[in-house]
Amino acid sequence: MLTTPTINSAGVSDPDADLIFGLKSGDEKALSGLMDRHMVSIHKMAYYMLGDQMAAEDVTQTVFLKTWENAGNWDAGRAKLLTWMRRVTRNACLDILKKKKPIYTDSVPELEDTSNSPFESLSESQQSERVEAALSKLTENQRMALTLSYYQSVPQREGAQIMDISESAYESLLVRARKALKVILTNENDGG
Amino acid sequence: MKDSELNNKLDAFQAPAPSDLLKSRILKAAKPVENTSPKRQSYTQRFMPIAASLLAICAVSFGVMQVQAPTEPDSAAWQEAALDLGFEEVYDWVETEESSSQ
Repeated sequence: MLTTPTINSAGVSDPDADLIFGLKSGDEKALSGLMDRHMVSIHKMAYYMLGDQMAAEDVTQTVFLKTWENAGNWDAGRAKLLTWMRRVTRNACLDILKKKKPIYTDSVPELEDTSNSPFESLSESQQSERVEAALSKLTENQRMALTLSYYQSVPQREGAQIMDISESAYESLLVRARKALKVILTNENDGG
Repeated sequence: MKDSELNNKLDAFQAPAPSDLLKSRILKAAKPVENTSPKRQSYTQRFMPIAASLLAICAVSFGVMQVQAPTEPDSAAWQEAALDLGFEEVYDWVETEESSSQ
């Protein structure tokens, strides 16, 4: 089993390089190790996208099984394994969202952000629920960008790679997402 | 709303952790992966298709040869030909010799 991270063609070391050989040779310990490292993160990413625990778990299973089944074809020089897994997560989430009736639109009202009063009066759980509801009102791409950037701390370049868009498009998506979220949260706060 | 306020709100919402059973569920679902390098086929396995093809070709060729094999003219035709060529006596002698030797 490899013990040192390999450097791919992009000059980035893959922290999961030590597991890739094991995955390729069908070693279940490598799969188990990979889950110990990334299962929570992948599950959370799916949850932020879908807002559903069961669906997020199904996506997580899909991602790890795909990784397991396709490890033999893995080309370490192309990307980091986790980046690829996040991309699979994104695609799996989008598939599920497509099957559901699309309740998200690309036209989130972008009103002037005039309020500066957060809902301090609300309880923590109420705040959490409101943020979750607000996130669900974003477009799928906005929600994905925000999830990757904020909740997963994915660097901009990698985020763009996962979403298969340019870095500038990713950046502007993030700006729009944050702006839309502010508007939604402000309006909800004002409305009740 | 300031960015820091939005961040505070985002922090207020954290996705739940997956269930404890998820890992074992995935491990259970993970089928043993076959080695990606093609398995070395045995000598018999490798040459079996070639042998089968050759056998089929031979069978077809034999069939075609059987169909196309010239049919031997019957003795009446030979006798008539010998008569036309003036070798009737020789023909009779050969035929008689053959029949008597058998």
